[in-house]
Amino acid sequence: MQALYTASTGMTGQQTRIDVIANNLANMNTSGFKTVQANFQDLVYQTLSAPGTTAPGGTTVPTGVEVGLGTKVGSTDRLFTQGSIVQTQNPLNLAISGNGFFQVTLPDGTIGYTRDGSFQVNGQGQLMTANGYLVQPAITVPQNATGITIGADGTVSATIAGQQNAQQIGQLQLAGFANPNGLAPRGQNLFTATQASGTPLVATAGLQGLGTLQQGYLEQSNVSLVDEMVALIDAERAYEAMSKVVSSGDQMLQMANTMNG
Amino acid sequence: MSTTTAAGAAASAMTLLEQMTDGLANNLANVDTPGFQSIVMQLQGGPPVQVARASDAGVAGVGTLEGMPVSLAVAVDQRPGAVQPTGNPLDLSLGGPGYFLVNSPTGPALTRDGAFHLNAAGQIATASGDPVLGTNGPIVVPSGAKTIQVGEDGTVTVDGSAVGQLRLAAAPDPTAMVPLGGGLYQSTTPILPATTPPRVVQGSLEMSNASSIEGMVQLITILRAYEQLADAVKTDDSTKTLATQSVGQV
Repeated sequence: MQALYTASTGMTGQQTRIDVIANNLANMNTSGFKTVQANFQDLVYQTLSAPGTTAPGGTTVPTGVEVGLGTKVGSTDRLFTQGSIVQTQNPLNLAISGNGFFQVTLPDGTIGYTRDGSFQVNGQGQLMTANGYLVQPAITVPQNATGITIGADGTVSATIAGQQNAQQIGQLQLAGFANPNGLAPRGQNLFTATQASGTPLVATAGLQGLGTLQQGYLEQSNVSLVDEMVALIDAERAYEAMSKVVSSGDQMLQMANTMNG
Repeated sequence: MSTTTAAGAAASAMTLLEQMTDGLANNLANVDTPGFQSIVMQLQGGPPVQVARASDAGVAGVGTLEGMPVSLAVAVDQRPGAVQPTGNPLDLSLGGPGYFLVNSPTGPALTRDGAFHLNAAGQIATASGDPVLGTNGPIVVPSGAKTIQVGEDGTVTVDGSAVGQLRLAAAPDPTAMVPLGGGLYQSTTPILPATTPPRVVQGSLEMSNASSIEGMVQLITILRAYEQLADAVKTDDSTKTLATQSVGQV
């Protein structure tokens, strides 16, 4: 009775999907978090009778009979849609409106990409993430700065005490990917480039299809509570259907076992 | 009553019902598989059994009995599934009958699962890495590409310049489709280009066309038919018990 095992692949797959949903819901309030979706794929098929063979009735089978062996989670895809942008008043909070990622230097020297623009300044005045990774290109805020202004194009200017005009101290750039889905998640809101994501296009915000920056705002996660709840119900019901298949298979075996009285 | 056919025919029909349950389990396991097309299974009757010629003296009305099912006929259900917007540039769905063509390890294969990615060679590919075929072979997205646009006619445009056009195949006969798994199907008849190509919709996925409700109803029907057959075997057994033990006894 293959049905029992086929149903179990469906149950395992739905469990993985619920794990993914749980992670989405847990990150509902994570800045710059992007929803993940589990995508299913059907498994291999078993040929019960090949086309062209002779059926018990003496006729030639025009088409074969193939029975599939279930399903698996083939991929988990991220939805890189825009999250809602909320005001925070913090001058070091940046939201990207449109495509693109901030670049940060990871401890191993590689570049990480993030949409979480909740930046801070360390003791040396360097702009960095909450985890202490330096933002690229490096921005150093002078110790005597009284205010920081970041333009929509990423131009960073500092107001220095005693000086009349704001002074430009750097220019932030964004990185864009043709296939952001191919990025590898590293946790801590960071992604790294892979062959599938392609090489990043680094340019000024607002140019070449990249988004613009908004100072004093943060991008919220794009997790939709309603969508996740619907997916959760769907997964639960599919799981239930699978358990019904298992019990039906069990009943059939029971009937077959009790045919001799 | 022939002593062998009743139980034997019931038992072989039960085997077919078990196979149908297996197929049904697969349809139900794939209710959330994008582009999945259900397998429709139908029992096919054997030749009618002649009980007694209706012309025979003393026989009224009884001629032939429907034969017990002897085989399964399968076909791929080509009804479209629901379309879900995803916003991913490489998620494509088809608005109409037809299939994407994929270069699978076993040759060209059909699929409606448009959850595509870029593989290591920069080609538009399935989740398993098999390249999707364009009119001029696999479609390569140059590295460093910023935007990928797919038009309704399947033209893939990268940063404003066309890099290829998706090859769309016509839907073959539903009984000629052999599922390969991974959302792929092979056709026992030659794959023909779609005469009226389906509209390609970027940023959306076609979900499975398997229905839990239909599946559950079929499962109950199979279960009850199986129960009746099991009862028939039991009845046949008790008839034979009577024949062997009681007949002839005084």
